[in-house]
Amino acid sequence: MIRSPEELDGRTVDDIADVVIVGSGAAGATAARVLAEAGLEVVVLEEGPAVPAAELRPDFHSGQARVWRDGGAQVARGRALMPLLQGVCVGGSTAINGAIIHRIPETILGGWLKADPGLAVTVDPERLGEIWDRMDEELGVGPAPPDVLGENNRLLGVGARALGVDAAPIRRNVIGCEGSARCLQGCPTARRQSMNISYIPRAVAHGARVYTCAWAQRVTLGRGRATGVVARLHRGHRGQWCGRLRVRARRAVLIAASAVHTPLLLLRSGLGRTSGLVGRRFQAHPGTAVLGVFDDPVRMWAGATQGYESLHWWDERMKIETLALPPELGAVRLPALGAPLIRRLAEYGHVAQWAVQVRALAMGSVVHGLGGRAVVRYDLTPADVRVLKLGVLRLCELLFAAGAREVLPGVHGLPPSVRSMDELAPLGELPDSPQLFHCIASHMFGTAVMASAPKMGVTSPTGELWDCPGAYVIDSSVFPSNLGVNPQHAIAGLAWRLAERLVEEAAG
Amino acid sequence: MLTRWERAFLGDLFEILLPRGGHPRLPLGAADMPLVPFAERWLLEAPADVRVGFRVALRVLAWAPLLTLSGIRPLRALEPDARIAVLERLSRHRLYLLRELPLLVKTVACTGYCAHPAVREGIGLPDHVEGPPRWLEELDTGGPRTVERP
Repeated sequence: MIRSPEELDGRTVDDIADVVIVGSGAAGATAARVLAEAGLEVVVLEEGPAVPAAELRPDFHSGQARVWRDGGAQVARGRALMPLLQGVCVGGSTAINGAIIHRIPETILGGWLKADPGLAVTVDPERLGEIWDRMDEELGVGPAPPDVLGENNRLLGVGARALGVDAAPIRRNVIGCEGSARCLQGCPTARRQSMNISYIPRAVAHGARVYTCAWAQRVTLGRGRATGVVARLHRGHRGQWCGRLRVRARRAVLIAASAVHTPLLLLRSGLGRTSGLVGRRFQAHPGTAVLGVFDDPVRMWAGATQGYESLHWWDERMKIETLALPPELGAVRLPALGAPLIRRLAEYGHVAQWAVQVRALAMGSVVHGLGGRAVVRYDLTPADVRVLKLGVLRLCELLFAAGAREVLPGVHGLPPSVRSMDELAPLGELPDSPQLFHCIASHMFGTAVMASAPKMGVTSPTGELWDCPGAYVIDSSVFPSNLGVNPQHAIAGLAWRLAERLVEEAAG
Repeated sequence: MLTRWERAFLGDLFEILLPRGGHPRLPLGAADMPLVPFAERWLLEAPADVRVGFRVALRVLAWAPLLTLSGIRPLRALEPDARIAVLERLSRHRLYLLRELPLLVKTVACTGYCAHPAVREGIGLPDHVEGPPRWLEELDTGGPRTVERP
């Protein structure tokens, strides 16, 4: 059952369940599904609305305003401003991402376990592998088929082959993709198996209750343990407050509100104070894009939004991927104003866009700002900037190798448009400053990190807060580091593992 | 939400950025669609710091000729070609925050402009047949022009 505030009619509502989950994204929905199917009574609180595919429009803003946090204007502050893209709707960021599926790379898992062997209680590569196998099957995970690649994706393969670079179609969680390139606005055909389409309905089918437009205000405590959650209800994504919700948890409170908003809920609730690490160690995958103009049509709007990638330079902390943007966003990257901008827009059908995503070393922080909003401070290190520079160069090289007649690197200090790699030579002379680029970050980690000792982390390896029995963090906040790959499957897999531990405990 | 001066200046900026008749397939300009009301909606949906930043940006942009050493007159007093030249110079300014200002306005302008079905058709997108964006429909039909905030 999915209940909106309209149905609750502005009342203060009381509910009770075995487990209360805050957030319906990759972690929350997966845990809800595992727990509900195991017979536990589950309530999920989602801050955003449920947005059916039928309500989505083709333009970017109509979706952005409804399903993106702050309408896409959430920004990390540092020497450069960096938009942090998150979904705020049933399904969370899985409802607005490019459907890219990766498991936690072995070297990352190995690094976590080497640094803290105690994590093996839950971070068990063998069991995680079994979980990911099952999720692959349930979510229709497979390489983007040739008939939905479209030119933007196909050309990356052409460029990579020409340069001898490893690249391949992306494994995606889509069943019957129609290649409308509208992943970021919300899939208009409901083919992407985001959590609102897959695990939330499964949880609901097993009795879970989902409250939408319910902003979790704080975790309630009693006798030294978590006893539930108090939430405020609002009408719509940016509606007025219209009621309260109090949900009592018989067994556990699971927090899965994202690496930006989970630490804020902990701080509001006075929890996770043992290590002083709540909201610290914020990590991300910043990325930037380069555009190429081709003689033949590319039509980014035909094909998978993100259908091809290269992990060739993963050891150098970079991942290359295609990224078809709607003209509303792509136009901003076109280096022109006035009539030249209109002319550039008219040839937008000949533009390809690819991006580099960096496994950044930088660490930031998340704190409360005015009105309870998140303030994220995050600054790339000079080493991260050097990786970005190298990534931009490689993107340009790939685009030229694929046949681009002109490349638009989008780097301050370089020519806005180049026709050969020689023109990019000055990049090496530019300072290692994040202000050279327009970066975004869409994967966030580490703000309530798990560890086997209270001084080293906010939660134990089971996700339970060291200072509050019964309260668990199950999203990417507990990740000891970033991954270097898109994290949806990693987050869901670990949440599954943590949830099944709870089921085992409940079974005694 | 915006003052009369802010609306008028923003309308001017949009027309500089997206002029009418720029290309045979894209004959419409910012002046042909309700981009300023769209910007007001966009601002209402944005966090408070972005709203404040946008309004500060308008005031700085009004005096962009001074910042780019292009003269002592405000932007609105310049000829159209000179306005574009000033904004382009500002978008390449050595100070990061200054060069982000034209980009901020361009972001809002392009978000609204490229959503228009006629523009999408001109670019070649097949989805223009699905109808106008929700905000344009509401503005055209006199629907809600503001978004309630908590």
